[in-house]
Amino acid sequence: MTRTRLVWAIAAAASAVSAQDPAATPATTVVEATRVVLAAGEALDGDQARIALRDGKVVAVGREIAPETLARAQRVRLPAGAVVVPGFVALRDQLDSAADLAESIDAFTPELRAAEAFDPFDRVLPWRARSGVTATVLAPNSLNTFAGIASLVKWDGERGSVAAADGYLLLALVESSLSRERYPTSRMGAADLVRGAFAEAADPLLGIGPEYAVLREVKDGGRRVAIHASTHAELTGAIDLARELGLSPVLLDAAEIENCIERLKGTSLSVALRPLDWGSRTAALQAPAQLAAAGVRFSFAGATGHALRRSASLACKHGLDRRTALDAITRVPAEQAGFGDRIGMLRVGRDADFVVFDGDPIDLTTRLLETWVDGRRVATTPGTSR
Amino acid sequence: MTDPARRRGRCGVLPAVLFAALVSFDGRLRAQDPEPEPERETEAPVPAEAPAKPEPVVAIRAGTLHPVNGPEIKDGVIVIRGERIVAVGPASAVEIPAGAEVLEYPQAHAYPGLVDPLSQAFAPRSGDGIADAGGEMALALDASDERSRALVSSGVTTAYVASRSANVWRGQGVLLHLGRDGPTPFQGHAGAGVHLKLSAQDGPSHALARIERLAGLGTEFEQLEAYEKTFTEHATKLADYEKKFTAWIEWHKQKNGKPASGEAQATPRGGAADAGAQGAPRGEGAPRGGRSGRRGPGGERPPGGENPAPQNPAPQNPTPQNPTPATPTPTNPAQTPNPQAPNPQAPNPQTPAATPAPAEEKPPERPQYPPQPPRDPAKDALIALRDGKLALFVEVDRAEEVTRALELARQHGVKRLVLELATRAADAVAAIAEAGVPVVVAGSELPPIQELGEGVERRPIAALLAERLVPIAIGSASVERARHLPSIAAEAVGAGVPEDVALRALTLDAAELLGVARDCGSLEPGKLGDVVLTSAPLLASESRVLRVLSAGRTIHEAR
Repeated sequence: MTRTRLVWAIAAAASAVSAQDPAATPATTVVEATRVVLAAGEALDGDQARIALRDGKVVAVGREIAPETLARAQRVRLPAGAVVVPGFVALRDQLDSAADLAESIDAFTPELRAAEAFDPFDRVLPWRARSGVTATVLAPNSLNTFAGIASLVKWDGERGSVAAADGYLLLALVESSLSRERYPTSRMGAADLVRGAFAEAADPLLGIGPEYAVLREVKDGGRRVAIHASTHAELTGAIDLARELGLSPVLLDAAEIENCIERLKGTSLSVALRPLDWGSRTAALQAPAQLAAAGVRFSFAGATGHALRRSASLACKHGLDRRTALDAITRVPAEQAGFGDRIGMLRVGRDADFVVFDGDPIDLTTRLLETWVDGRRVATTPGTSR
Repeated sequence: MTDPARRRGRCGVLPAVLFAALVSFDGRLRAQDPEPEPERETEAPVPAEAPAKPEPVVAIRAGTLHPVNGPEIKDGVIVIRGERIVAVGPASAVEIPAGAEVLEYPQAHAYPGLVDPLSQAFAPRSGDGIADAGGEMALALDASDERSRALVSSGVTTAYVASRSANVWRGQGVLLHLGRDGPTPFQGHAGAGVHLKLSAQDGPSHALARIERLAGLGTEFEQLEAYEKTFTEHATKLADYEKKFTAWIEWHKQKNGKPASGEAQATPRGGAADAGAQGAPRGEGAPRGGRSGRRGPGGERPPGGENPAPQNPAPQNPTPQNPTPATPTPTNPAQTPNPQAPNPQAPNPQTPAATPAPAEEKPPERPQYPPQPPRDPAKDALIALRDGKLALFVEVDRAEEVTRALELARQHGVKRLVLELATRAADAVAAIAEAGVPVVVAGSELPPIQELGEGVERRPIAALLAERLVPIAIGSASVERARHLPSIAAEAVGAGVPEDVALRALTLDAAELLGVARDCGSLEPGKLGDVVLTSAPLLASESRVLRVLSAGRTIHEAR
């Protein structure tokens, strides 16, 4: 007994010494900028515009950073005028693996995980980071109705990794999910398949197997669900199914949402809009502001930082406020993906994923300077090095 | 809706639109030319009532003026009299004339009308079918009001439209000024340039195919010498004809004591005036005139002057605006009867009654009018390129194509070269800068990610060119994109193009590249009153177009 206590005492003393030794503790980095946007509408300026990072997480922000931490930390001073914003979140991307992300012969594959098709050396992923995307949701391809489970992937500057394998379940009602070679061949068939599958999942005799377990997680609220629906008809069908089955899906890639906004008011459904582009219809350009006015949560489902910023900027040009626009490419897609507790905002305990600009990222004239993922600088824009 | 010009535009009646554009256009939109062409000024005379009416005066007072050619002016005033700007400056220094219509925009920003050098706004939807250097986009325009309004609402007041077909030669583009009555060609600028496509996205892409195509282009330029030689020889023959004809007339005068009726003023058919114009296919108006030029003075000649004889066809002078003879001529042939043409009042000198020459002296043989060699608009266009009358616009994609375009221009003496797109031509930026060739880009998009490996340049070509101080212009490249031209430029700034360069790329640099900088591209006295008023700086996300004036008249106002 005495001997055991002695061992513990020695161990504790060693631990205490170790804690006081900066070289022995995990390194803390403090990034200082002209402005740090913690979340849309919440920013730190001047002397308080700093965040402390350790182990890939945000450990303190602004005045929360203790003087001794500041004294010992590795400090990174960003150029004058630098603005730190939460990293952009791509809600749906296939990277360079589109062909590996679908089992199109079978319409019912809810248990398949996109993470299993992920290539850590995907040649597209680094370019996502260079464009400001710090977290990519690798989603199954919409070539069958129950497409599978999305996963969160990141790039650390050298290779990619799966940050979270269990994301949303993707259902697809778009035309590409139908096939003449198997059931369902039509949208009504797809609706029937979805309805029947959830009914079977609820049946203790029929709902056996991992595929039904996924559906029960969705039904119980333990897993988010996204329905890929683009056209007005597909969106209407998705809204009807959600109401019938008691689901709160994200309507993914909603291109023709403008006629459904009234139906979405007051519901728990949210929308991931198709990214806006130079060729977008006027109604599509105006839809974000209309959704915001109706109180419907929405994001932009773009894969690259360019697409996300362009969407946010064009939406602002057509009446959307900047705060909601920034939310739509950071916090909201993170929550819609089911990772709102990790990414999308700069809060203590969350992933240290952020992007450095020389101004407001909603202005297209603003230049992206650096991208940081999990507390590491993974990309610097050429010609902007300090 | 009651505007007849608009009705014509909607109906797509191209001839009517073009006629209205070319004929009713009042000639006051005089554009910059490489060489002054005073003759063109008389093409479309100012309506007779114009001088009688006092010209309307508009004064715009805006929070910030962005003249582009100089620093911004806070609380500035632009005064437009008639179609032209007469004063620009701070409100404290510019006096607003009494009776002027004053437009007050204290919070707004004022810019010159935007210039889209890569517009597809009025290109026919079904393709234009232009496949050589001589084809004219002006003849294939689909000038609908809807498209014009879409452009104007985004601040564009000048659009340059050229064929975007997959053909190697894409003919000549057309410069349009967007006004209250829709698009009208800039005076004297039916074609600002001849278009060539060397990029291979939708054309032959194999290296051998590209080499073959380039070899063909070289041959076309090389054939110009032979083509011009035919006109030089024709001019010589005409001079000889004139000499012999004069001798022939003199012989008959001497024999008769006085010239026969109708011969007194006779001159050689065609005469040296034609010889001068035809002998110089590069002459003024030959390239610009294009198809319209081919109507020639024959169309202006009195019917009696036409010669229906097939062995002696009427000369086709492609230079209606330039009747100046290259060599002296007795009289204007267009005003003289043709001695070979049937003329009841002029006895034929070959008939015994009209030529009572002595039987013992053999009359000289009457000379035959030398037939004129046929004109080739495509070759005329190439000559115009070589002489700097037209610019050569070459669409390129890769560095290799840039090199070929520069070589082509150098080898064949093309004086004004403009490159288009050059998206994948990062490796050729130094060569472009060295050659001093401006580039029209379509924004700041990078090539597809799959083509970008590690170590490959990641900045868009626009940023690389701007870094080397190469003049760039930003064009829309499609009807849809034209609505977002300022946003496209803003994105280029985000990709590394300096903001002032991007603004010039939308205005003054684009105008200079197109040869219309004398009329538009900046807020300067003497230029057209093309003004865009925006709610915020043009490139800002929230910026909205509040009002657009074209040649001093409001053509768009935000609701």
